[in-house]
Amino acid sequence: MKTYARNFLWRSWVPLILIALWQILLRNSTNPYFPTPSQILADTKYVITPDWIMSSLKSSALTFLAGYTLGSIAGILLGAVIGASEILREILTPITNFIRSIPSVAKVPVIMAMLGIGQATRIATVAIAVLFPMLMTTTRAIATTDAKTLDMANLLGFGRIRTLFEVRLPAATGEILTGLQAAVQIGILVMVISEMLGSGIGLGAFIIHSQSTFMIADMWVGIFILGVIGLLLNEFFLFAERKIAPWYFRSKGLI
Amino acid sequence: MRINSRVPKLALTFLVGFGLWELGSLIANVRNFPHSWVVLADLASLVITMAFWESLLVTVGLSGLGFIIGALFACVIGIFVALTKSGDLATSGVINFVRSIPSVVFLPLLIASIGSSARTALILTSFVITFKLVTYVVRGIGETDPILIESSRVMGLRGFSKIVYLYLPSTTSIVGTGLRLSATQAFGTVVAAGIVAGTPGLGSALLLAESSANYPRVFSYVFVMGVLGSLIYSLFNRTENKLIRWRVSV
Repeated sequence: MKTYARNFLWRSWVPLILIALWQILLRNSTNPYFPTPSQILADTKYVITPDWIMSSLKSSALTFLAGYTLGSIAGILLGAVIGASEILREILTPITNFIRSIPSVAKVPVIMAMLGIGQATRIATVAIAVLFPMLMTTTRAIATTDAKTLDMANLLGFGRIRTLFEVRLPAATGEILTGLQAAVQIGILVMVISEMLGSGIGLGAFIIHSQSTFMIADMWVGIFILGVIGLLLNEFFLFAERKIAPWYFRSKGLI
Repeated sequence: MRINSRVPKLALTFLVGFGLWELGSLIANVRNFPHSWVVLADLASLVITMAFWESLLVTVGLSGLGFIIGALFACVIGIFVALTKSGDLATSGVINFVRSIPSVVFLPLLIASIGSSARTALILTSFVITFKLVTYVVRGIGETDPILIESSRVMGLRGFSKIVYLYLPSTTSIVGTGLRLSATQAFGTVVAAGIVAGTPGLGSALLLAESSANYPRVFSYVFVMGVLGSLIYSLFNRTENKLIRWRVSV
């Protein structure tokens, strides 16, 4: 406990100094766009109301969680199938590479044009943005399964499907987990963009709305809340992936 | 089974690609998901206009400039943080926090304070790249072989020459990966600024086409962005593999 407290203090001195600097430098500033931390903090309690939690936050959470889950499951399954078959891999890789090269932001208007601007669209945009990086990570991880392990599975008389699920996928766990962690950031970014472009609900819409109604402190609260959510999700993944596949992270020297 | 010749493989890829596209326009509303030939015809009429090349140049220019500015900032900050050992844990906490804020949320702030010009896109892109790359620089320097550091001390390397002869070569591999990932992100950020904030370039051109419900045009722009993104990626991938032959790219 003591070391934890010391660690926490050690971790927080730079942020504390930065916040103090921000407060001191902008104390007498009349620039309306950069309020001081104390003003933002004072504003926070007006922003975070039960009503706000039930509308903005709930909608964003639903968009992200549903989109992320659907997208990553689809990405991993498709990636596993493509990765296990050389012929599929050779034909489809240029196509998935191309689609992934389209900035995920640019896919949002296209999906909106097809599905309208409801919750389903927002979920679909996040799912598609998460799907492609996951698909490519899984494809590569499955394709590069250790040849000796595969020979062993062959010797044991495993069929293709059994090899895929009992040999190739478990061997790829570490890389898939790393991909899942990287996809969180993409998912949140696309969630915010889909909310900013015309939905009127969610954290992204809240930030745009605050700006257009000159509630600049509200906007800053929104920015910080997104940062905190991103950070928490990231920490959660770092913790979870080391619990799920410790061998992989140990072999990479990351633990 | 293996397809040996390159040509039929490529032909198959194209066939499957367009097949999937047609499948898409079959499932979705054709008005919103036009047939491939409609889009290709539109693309042909788009690439002969000056406006298209202008917005393309603006996007590429802004991405490149933002990338370079961001990379410079990242090097300076990264070297400072890593070499002064200014509480790695604490600094990386701040950097991680800023990195976990989705970049587009700063757009409303930028629009409100400086409007939505090319400068807005440039500032956002430089900012994003700085924070993306700085972790790679810090990690690269942190993972420098202690034996090399020791021998550089023995040989009396100091200050600038220490950075050039010790840290630059030993961080190339990690920073190279960071540069490659940042290059595509710089492009994505400029496009995002265009779509969300209407800053000049391909992004706002796409938004304009979408708001006038010109879907073949929307798809043309998306297609062009895919080509550009692939080009940027493979350019960096190739340069990286050529420069750093001793390792496998990650």
